[in-house]
Amino acid sequence: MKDKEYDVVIVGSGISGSIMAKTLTQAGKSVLLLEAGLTAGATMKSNGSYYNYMTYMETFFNAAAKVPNSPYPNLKDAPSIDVINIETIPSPTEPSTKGDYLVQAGPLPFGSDNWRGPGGTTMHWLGTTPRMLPNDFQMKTKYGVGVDWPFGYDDLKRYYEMAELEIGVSGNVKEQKGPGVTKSYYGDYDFPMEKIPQSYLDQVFMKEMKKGGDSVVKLDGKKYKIEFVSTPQGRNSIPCPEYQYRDITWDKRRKKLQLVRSTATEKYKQSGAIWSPNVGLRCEGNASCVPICPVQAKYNALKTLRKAVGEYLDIKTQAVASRVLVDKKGKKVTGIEYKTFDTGDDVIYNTRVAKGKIYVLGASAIENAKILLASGIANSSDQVGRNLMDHLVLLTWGLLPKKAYPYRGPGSTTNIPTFRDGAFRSKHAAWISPVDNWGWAWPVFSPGSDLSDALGKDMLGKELKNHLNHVLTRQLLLHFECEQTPDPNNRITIDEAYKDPIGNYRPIVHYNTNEYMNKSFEAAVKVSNQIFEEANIEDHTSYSQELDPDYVEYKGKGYNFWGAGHIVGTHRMGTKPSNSVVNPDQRTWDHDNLYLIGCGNMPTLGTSNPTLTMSALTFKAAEAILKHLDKK
Amino acid sequence: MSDSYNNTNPRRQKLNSRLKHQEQQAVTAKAGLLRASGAIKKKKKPTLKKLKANLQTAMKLEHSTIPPYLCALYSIKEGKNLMATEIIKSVVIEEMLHMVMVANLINAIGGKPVVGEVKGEPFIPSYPTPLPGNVDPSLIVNLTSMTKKQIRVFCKIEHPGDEEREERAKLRSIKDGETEYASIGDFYAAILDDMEALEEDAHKKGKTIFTGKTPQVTPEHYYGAGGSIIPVHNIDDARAVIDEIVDQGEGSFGSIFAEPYKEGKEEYLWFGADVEEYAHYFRFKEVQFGRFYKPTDSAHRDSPNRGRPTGEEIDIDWEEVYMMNDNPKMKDYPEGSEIRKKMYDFNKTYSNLLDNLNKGCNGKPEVLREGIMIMFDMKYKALELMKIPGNNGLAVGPSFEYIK
Amino acid sequence: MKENNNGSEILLEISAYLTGFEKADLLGTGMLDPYYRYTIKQYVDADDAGTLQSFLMESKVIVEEFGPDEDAVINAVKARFLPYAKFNTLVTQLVTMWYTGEWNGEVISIEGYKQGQAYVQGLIWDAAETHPPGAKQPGYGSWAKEPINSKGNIK
Repeated sequence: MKDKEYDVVIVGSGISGSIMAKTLTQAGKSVLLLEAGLTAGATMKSNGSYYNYMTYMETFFNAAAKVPNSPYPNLKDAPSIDVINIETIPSPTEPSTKGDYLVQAGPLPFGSDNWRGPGGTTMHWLGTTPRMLPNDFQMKTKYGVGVDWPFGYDDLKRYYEMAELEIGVSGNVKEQKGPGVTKSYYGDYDFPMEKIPQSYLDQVFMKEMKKGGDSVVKLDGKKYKIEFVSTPQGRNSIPCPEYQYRDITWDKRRKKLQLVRSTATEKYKQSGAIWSPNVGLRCEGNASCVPICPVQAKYNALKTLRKAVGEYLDIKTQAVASRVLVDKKGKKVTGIEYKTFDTGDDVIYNTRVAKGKIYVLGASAIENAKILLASGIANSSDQVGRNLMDHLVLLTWGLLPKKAYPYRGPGSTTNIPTFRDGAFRSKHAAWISPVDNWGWAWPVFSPGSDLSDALGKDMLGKELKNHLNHVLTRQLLLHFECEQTPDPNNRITIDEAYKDPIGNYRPIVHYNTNEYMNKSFEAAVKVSNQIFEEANIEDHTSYSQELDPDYVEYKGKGYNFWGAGHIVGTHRMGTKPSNSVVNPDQRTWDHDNLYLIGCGNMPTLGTSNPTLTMSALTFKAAEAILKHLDKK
Repeated sequence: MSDSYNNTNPRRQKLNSRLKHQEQQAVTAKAGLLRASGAIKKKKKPTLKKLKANLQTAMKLEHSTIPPYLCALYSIKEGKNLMATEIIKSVVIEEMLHMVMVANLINAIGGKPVVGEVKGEPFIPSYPTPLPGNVDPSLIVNLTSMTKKQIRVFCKIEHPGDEEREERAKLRSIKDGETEYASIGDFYAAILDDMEALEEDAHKKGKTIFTGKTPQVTPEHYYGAGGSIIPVHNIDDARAVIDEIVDQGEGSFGSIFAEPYKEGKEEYLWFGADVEEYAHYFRFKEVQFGRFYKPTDSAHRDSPNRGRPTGEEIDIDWEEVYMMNDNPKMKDYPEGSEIRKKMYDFNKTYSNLLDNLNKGCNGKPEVLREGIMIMFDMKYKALELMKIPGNNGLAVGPSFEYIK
Repeated sequence: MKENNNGSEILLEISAYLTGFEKADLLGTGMLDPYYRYTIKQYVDADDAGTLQSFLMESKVIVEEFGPDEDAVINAVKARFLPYAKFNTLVTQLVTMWYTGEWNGEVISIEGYKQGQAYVQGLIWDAAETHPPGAKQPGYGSWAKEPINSKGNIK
């Protein structure tokens, strides 16, 4: 195996790596997939994968803080970033190094994490899958902000359809509305499955809002109608009888990836748990999508990886890519150096090299940037590691006037799209507002904090139980997920001073917000206040440095924001080698046989959760690679 | 049978395509074989009314296995015996699927399926009980925890017919003057036989017995089982339903147990990593012996592995089980007591579930969505009863009594 | 009130009053025995078994004196325990244990019991008329309706 040369070597078994591996092997190409995480997590045997997943579940139950990475192994030899380590940056000269992996140089701490293991961060993602809006691709042209993408929404549309098939999106096309959502946005199209039912809480909230007819809020003298939309998401519901497709295939003759239409007998079938095709065919309402879906009704990348063709795929686990090797001229990639280990915590490793015709990095935005910087390649533009972005999630919370029963169902089933686009984008960030189904858990650690507060007030017995019932059944949490714009100073760097136990670099993150985002916090709170007033919600929102270290002051007021886990933009795609790391095929400008995949390619973020767009981009890259291979 | 299911399971696909090709032949041959063996008594000409009654009995039969299987399932301590839990769970889900598919059969021929108690006619047997429909009356079924003994009873419940038992049944049936079946498979074979005969008669007159107008339950309403639900509109669908039920129960090869073992005969090899669905009988055997079947294992009793699983070990700890009182009843605890209240809550929920199924099988399949929620709720109530100490130092246990 | 000298029985009695749940609810979690053993271990390890012992003895007295009047029992608890830091802490720990399965911020783990079971059996989810995230799932579409598990519902 040491000397075997593959058609393609892929780094990372997350959603981008898995889509790539599946698409290439189904087209008959030989693939080596390198994965840093433990072998047990990548097994495709039913019993093995079931037992392994149950250890994740047990770890999750037992975790004191049930943060996104809590169910999953954190290895010394391949550590993961963890939100549990986020703290205020001690000083401009003293970065935060809590957790022994991510080095936070500030001035603000970066608020998101990911997981380095089989299936990647889709193991703990929420699964929300809106598409980007057409204007999101032309931020510079339309609003004079950020950059344009090298292509438009329409160019990505068919890849969006592939991504929605692959992930298994449940949703209702007809219900989608809001700025930018025209008839042609989805076109004559259905999602693979029917929409996930909107929560009882959504219904109570919407009813309260609509009591006075149309809900209108004012912002900067302009009126906006508040609309509610069922959220498309990657979790299983009832297959949609009208859905037209069932598969994706490489059309060798036309050199294109094609959606395969369903027929009377061959129809779309949703993917169940990796250990049993009969488990997880519907979301069962575990209300734990983040960090783990116990029945795998929520999509994760292992479902895609499982569809890869075994005879063309070798998976090498416990293999951490450390450097990309290039020839003497620095042009052609000649191999990927990786370090293998036995247990993950023993700090004993061997260094090997993987060889292929084409190389693909899909190790996450942060890891991709880190590997490129460590290799000193692909950076003639000086853009590698720069333009790191996330959604800055401003939260507001209050008590509804009647019981709405949060803490049930998927994390969010409804969103307010009203501020996803508009003329205001030339002045401040746009946002999407998901209605959160899980009470105040995120900002203030409910329901545990409600219990300790009540006990602090000497409540006991029936009084205590009644109080908790009264409060916990009425909690509402609203998100304002504000678009961060690309800033070259928000970036990943490396430094000899910071290395992990097996000698790989620890990423250093430099991070801040600016006026464009801060102004959107101000606007979002104005909107939130009007919504709360209209729906008779008792506001309990309160921001402080103590509540959360991502705290900014703007025009005399303080705001907290939280990371959305949408880590984007560290090796952006563009029109020319001088302004970007990859071309529209997601091939590095500097190296003909090196492709980068994942959220790092996205030039801007828009207001949609990036996984769907990134998956669409990955199908586009896979198509380019298949063309590339067939040329030879 | 959904195509996609076939796609995910190559071995099963093979099995089914074989069935499809030889469908007519195989079923007739099986019925003929059984008739020749005397398991099915040569009866008077079947009537549609009697067929409907037999199908109703079949529903009761499918249902009667559910409470004992659930007791075993819920008695397993949290997080213990993971694989046994998965195995028993998969069986129970399929039993419920069978019940609903029999309802589809009844509706298809213009009958009215009854789930739960209607007009005082009992539906839930009072445990301990023999299986409804005179299926092996020597077998008494208890509600109790997952014990080795109880798993052996489960194997018997799902046992494929064999010559010896059929012979016994035949002798007894002559004695009793009442039809008796050696196994569940035989019972269904008799039903299919009647159905074929009646449809043939109707066909000769240019008619059909499949005249039902009540909406069928379709895969959209019921999911999560090995194999998906089959709506019934004609005799082919009816055959497919019965094949599926018998297939999942004891395997579609009950007859091989009646044949002497032949070395290397492929039909006995039913197992392997790519076969995701074994018949219930074999799944229980795996629990009983704490091993999975492996591809070279034979299903035949006289094979070198004696029909037993010899593959990868399954970690089964018979101690990691809550021990409940056998066949509990509400009246075992004083009225007004907290325990009695908990038992009542459970039974009320179980009864609601049956009522929901009844509605779902009588023209309102969409309500089955709520049935899923009731089913989960019932489970958590049963799990409480598995932990609450009751009489004799044992857990109270769920009693499965119908409450209007 | 029948005579009762068994520690775990007393713990059960007083816990029902302190939490506002019925004894059968507490027993239905399957956690009485492990929690009793765990509590003893915490106090023995801290060389403070006397505090727990006094608490149980006094609880027995309170229950016998004021039970089954819930308000009277709670008032006695407030008067006789809460003013004293040690007992105040113990009452808070016990209620928190039943409600969340945690002790000093960690999920309780007991030898011989499934890890994380304490979290799964937390009563706070019943009080909120829901279920612990990741366990006791209510089924497809349940979240679109009012909850059917009404243990925590105060009518």
